[in-house]
Amino acid sequence: MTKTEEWSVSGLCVTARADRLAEIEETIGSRPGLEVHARDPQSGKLVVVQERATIEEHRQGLRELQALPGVLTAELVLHYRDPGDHPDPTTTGDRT
Amino acid sequence: MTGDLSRRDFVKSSVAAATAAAVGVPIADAADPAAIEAGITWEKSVCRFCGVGCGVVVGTKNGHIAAVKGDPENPVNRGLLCAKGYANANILYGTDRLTKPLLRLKDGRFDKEGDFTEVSWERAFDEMERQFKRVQAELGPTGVGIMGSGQYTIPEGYAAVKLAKAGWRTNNLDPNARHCMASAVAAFIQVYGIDEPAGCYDDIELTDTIVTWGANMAEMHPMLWARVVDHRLRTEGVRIINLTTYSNRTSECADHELVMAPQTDLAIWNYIAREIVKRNAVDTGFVENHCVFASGPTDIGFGMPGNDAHAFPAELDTLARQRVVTLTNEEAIAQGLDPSKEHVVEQSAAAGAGAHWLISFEEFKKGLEPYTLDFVAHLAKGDPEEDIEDFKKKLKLLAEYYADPKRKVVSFWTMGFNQHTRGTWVNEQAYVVHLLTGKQARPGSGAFSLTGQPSACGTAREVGTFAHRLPADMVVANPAHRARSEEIWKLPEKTLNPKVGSHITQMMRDLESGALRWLWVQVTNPFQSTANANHWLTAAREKDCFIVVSDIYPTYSCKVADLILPCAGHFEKWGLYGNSERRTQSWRQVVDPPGEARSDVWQMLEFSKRFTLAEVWGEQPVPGLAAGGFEDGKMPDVLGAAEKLGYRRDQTLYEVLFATPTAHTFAWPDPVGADHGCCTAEASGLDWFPEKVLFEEYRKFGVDHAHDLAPFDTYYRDDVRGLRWPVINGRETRWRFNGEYDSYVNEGAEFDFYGPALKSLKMGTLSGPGGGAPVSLAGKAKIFFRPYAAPAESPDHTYDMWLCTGRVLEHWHSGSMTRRVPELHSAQPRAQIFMHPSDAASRGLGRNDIALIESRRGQVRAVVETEGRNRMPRGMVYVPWFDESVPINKLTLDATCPISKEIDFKKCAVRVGKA
Repeated sequence: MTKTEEWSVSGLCVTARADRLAEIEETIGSRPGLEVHARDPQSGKLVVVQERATIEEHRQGLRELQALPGVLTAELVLHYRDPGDHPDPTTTGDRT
Repeated sequence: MTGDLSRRDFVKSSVAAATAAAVGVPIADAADPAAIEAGITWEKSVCRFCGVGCGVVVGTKNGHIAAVKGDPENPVNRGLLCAKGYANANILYGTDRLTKPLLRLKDGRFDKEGDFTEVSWERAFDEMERQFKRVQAELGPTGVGIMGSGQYTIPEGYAAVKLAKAGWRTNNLDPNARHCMASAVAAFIQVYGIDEPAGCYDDIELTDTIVTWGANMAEMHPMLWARVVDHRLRTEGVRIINLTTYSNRTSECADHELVMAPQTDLAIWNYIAREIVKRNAVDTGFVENHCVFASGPTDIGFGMPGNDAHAFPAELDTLARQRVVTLTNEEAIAQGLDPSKEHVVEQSAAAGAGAHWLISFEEFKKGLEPYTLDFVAHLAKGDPEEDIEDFKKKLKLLAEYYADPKRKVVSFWTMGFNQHTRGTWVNEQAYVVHLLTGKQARPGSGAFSLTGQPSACGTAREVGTFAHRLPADMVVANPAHRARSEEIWKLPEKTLNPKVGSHITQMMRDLESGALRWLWVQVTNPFQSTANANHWLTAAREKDCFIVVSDIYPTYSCKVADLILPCAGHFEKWGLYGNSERRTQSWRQVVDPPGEARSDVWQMLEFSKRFTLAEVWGEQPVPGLAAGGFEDGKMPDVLGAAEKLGYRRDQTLYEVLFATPTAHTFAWPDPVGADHGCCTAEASGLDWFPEKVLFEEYRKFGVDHAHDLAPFDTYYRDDVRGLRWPVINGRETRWRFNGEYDSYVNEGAEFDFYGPALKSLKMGTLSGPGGGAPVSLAGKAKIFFRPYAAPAESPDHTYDMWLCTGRVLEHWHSGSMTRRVPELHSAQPRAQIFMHPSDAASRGLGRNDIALIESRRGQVRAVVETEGRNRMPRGMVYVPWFDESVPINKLTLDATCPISKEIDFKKCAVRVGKA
């Protein structure tokens, strides 16, 4: 696997109880590496962008969102790894 | 971190825009989502993990997967993915991918005590062949076997069935899916005569009521759960009820949670059925026209070995219950017997547990009579701290929901029902309530069995990689089914073996007894996943046997293997999966496998070159074979008949089964694969397309037999996101057995339960069948009476707690893929033992202490968790099984449902103390 530090971004969809949407949006927005980019009060959905170094940090971040009081579901929509981080394709053939 | 700040902001803005577009949320001032996609090639695909079957789109750049997104075009997940979705790409890139065959060698020769050494594929196959032929010469075809998987692609599973059953004439092929949904299958066959659900996921948005039974959907089927939650929030009057043995994440969004005692689901269903009858809520028109009533024996044992030959001393008392059971007080009441007397029951129907007969509605009602609210509430209340009156209120409400003619109801279940020593019964009981109320096979109403694995339905069940099955719901024991398979496969008559092979747990027992001595493990990790594992781990290493494990990583099972073969991963090969709603979906190979890793299909095709017909189609002994036409206990020599079909004795199985003249008509390269590789074809320099050939041949079994699949190329069309079979003239089927939607229903009929299996029965009573002639039940579904029965093992003074095991959200099965990404391992390195704080305190344990957990069969250590996602009632602990350093299946009991042969992983007795 690449030795370069990973950098990646994921787009998440968070569904919250409508009566707590504003409060949850504020909580999420105050956490490092998380930004709320859009909201739909009718469906209780927030579009959240998460920036993390590793895949596990992304997964952990999603788990933390799921565990927030008032959050009903939190899902991954898109995960993007910075192309600069890919290992040289000529060395990926054999990784014993 | 790397990356220029302005570029990072730009990327984030683009990701936000793409996310918002996918979930339909309006967004202002967004960057063009297409901007992040420069240089990335996107390809529609299917998630590698659970049975939901979410669509994913994978982005490749420079031969590497760079991005993953939920497929907004896919109706299953509509652009969303769960936390496992991240892993779809990364599971391919763990640092310890297997890239060369590894054989145990000592001084250059194979030795069971030797060290794993890199060898060529040629050398690997040489040893596999030598060992196979040695065992086959001594034991015949039953001495060898394959353990397969619900994670097989359809072409992989089909190649395995054909190689084992048509080539080697052994039925010892059984998947890990046996541990996953065999009970669901058995009930589908018993009730409808045909496998797999009537309804589909569309029911979620069409229903008023969702009841989950032994299914923690929030963690195990997150994308379906997201649809359930979404529907609940958007629609007035929708209600969710979660029945479970401990409080879990699904309860958080449920309107009502019912914590029940293990095994008492059997009694709760009968209470609901009794209430429906008592309230005159039976849909009499539906029942009279489309249903019959049935029952079967109760003295059926627990699928454990009938002798103690290999038992540990501590196991003897549990094993004795396979032979004789003294009914508990509750069991006596539940069976309508006098509880003041002792009832010692020999388990004489253990070998014929699936037998059943018709009964009258009056008899059915008589069976339900003991299941009063009072009796069931006291039996079933699972949380000692809950007030009995509160629990009764919930039971009544549950019955009201099912009984209310105005309310549509969907019941979902997974392993809580299937992994159950009465798993077939409890699946049947779900249909009882839905059939009685006419809430089955209708949009928005139905009992729906969810599966755990991505192709448990598509491959294990539909292709038939089970010890008793052939493709398209056919079975080896049925002469007409064998004849049809022999015709499609162009085999001589009597090539196929009519004797059901060993199921996956029996194969483990056969390894221990010496009846099975050559085993190929494909796409599964059975030495971690099979209950009572200490027996099998020891057998694998100490018995005279040869074990081959094909995998992408060195798993727990690899540790006890003699030969390890490196495999191509999910996006490194072509494949198709079938999900829980009968939806067949496909993906193309988008990147190449590393090193010398090869697809499973390639491995089977190459190995089949090692057998001439003369070596496998001569006379072969099969112990216990006594089927009609095979009375001498032998598979006959069919070589003469083969020559009449134009085969030569020195032809290989490869030529006869796979590289057939028809195969060569499907050329590789193929336009459907333009710009894509095919590692199977390329590794052997083939000018034909193996995966397509296998799929197209397999498809012949189902067409016009109620399992119609579309042609291979259809699934790869840009505008297709899978199709739910039967696919008739390009049109999928959403609700089977319903005349409005299913073209297999008899012309003009509103409903037709047309499944053909087990549709001729004698009339009898609750106590047994009568002497009359069998009656035809064509078009009818069966409503079974099944009583409550106690588990195989329950807590006692020595082992005083229930142990339940299962998955967690983050990890897939044994963790062989999801635990591979290095960061994953450090973040979630250990499985915990979830327990009630007061149970922990009374044992001198606190949160994060190490506990020693022991059963009659083994012991492990695990970290104590008294908070978190699973909140246990007193008296019960939960330990997930993904962690090979906490091999919890050393403790679990290998008791099975005697009908389905599926292990009950949810109930055994343990004690917990300080490590």
